[in-house]
Amino acid sequence: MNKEYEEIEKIERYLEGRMEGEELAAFEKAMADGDGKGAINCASASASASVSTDDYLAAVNAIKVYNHSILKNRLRQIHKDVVIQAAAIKTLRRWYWAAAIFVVMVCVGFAMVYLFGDETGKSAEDNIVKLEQEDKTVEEEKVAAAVAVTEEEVEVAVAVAEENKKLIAANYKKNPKYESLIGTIYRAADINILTPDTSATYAVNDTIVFSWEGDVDEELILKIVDNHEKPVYEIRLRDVHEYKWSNKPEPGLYYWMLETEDDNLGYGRFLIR
Amino acid sequence: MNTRKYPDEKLIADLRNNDDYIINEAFYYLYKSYYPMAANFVKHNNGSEAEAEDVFQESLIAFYENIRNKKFRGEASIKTYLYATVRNTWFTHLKKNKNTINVENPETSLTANVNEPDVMYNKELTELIMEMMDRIGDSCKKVLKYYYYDKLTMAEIGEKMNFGSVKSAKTQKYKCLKKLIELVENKPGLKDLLMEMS
Repeated sequence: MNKEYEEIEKIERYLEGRMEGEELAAFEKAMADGDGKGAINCASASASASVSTDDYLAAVNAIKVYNHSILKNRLRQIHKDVVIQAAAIKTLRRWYWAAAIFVVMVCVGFAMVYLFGDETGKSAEDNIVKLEQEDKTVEEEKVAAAVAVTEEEVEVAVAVAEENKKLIAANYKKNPKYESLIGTIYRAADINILTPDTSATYAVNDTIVFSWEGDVDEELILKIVDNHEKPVYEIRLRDVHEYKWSNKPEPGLYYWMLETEDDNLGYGRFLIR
Repeated sequence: MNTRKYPDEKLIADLRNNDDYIINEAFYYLYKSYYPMAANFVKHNNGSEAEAEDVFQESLIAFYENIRNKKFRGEASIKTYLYATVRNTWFTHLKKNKNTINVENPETSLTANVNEPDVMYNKELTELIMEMMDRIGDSCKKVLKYYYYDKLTMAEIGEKMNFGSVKSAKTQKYKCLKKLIELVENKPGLKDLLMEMS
């Protein structure tokens, strides 16, 4: 094992409390002799130790901050999903309540007609009542027809709302293939992607600026696909460092890639709200 | 919300799982079940919706890390534990901002002055670290995450990343850490900032 790896391994054992006896005493002495900076000598006690406990702790803290930040981004996405879902459920509940109240009112109407609209008697007065009853029956039929149409409309509206909810959710679902490519560094390329940031969010009417630094002699190809990998846009560019895109795409999650005929230069994503 | 469907024991087991999908499902459940409670608490104590979101996310991360580090032993229910974490996080945040309005809490005499939302961690530092981590490559990011953040053993890492043996997994980990140490050293001042967090 490389000497530097041995040093790291030693620091790790010390910090995790897995070092004992003479080795522990020697390590602590070396630390104390290191001008309080936590530098240690390597196993061979030569003066070439290049990794200190401070270096180690700083790197481990960087890993923690990085993963903390990744987790926080994940929770932000969950927050958005949960809030969107809650809003959709609220809307659906309103529809159900409206439909339920309407059905109750219709039932009460039928009950009233049934209880108070009965035909009895044979006198002239009764004939007037009968005529009135016939009018009522015609009215009832009209009401019943209206109710049937309205109930059907409510069902259709609820189904449409459900379908829209599913479609919206599907448009924001992350594509594992492209997610795994984001952040990949292509060492062969001298291109450094500047914008958009991988967490960028735009409105439909926004102009999205794709920019990068560094030069490539070949023609650059900028491709944009949606989260279902369906191509949305493609343009070939030469001798430029930015491209402004204002095509007003549908709301959803999009991935973009910059490449040449032979090489991939970078991947990214952005969100259209 | 159906707590019977996702008992505490299962939630803890899922958060300790190494499958991102299972962990995500657990987070969704925790969010749906306990975010309203946290938001209610923060908003009743002079906080905004955005602050509630931030405080709840920080509390969830602390809870997740305690579960991964086995510091959470299940002595209290998840609901109680999360509520206490949210409460402590929010009061710490108020203290930091030198608050002056009375908050709704019988156990404390803290006062709050509602200003702009708190920045829970240094944004510039995070961006610098993100950029640095991107430079060590995906494979290294994974190895270091699995070992130092997810607390997996070298054997588990070796298996997960097809390294073939524990020894080669270890070598890979050291290589990646060395690479990261070099990058930290090349950013003046960054090491001191990171050391302050220890």
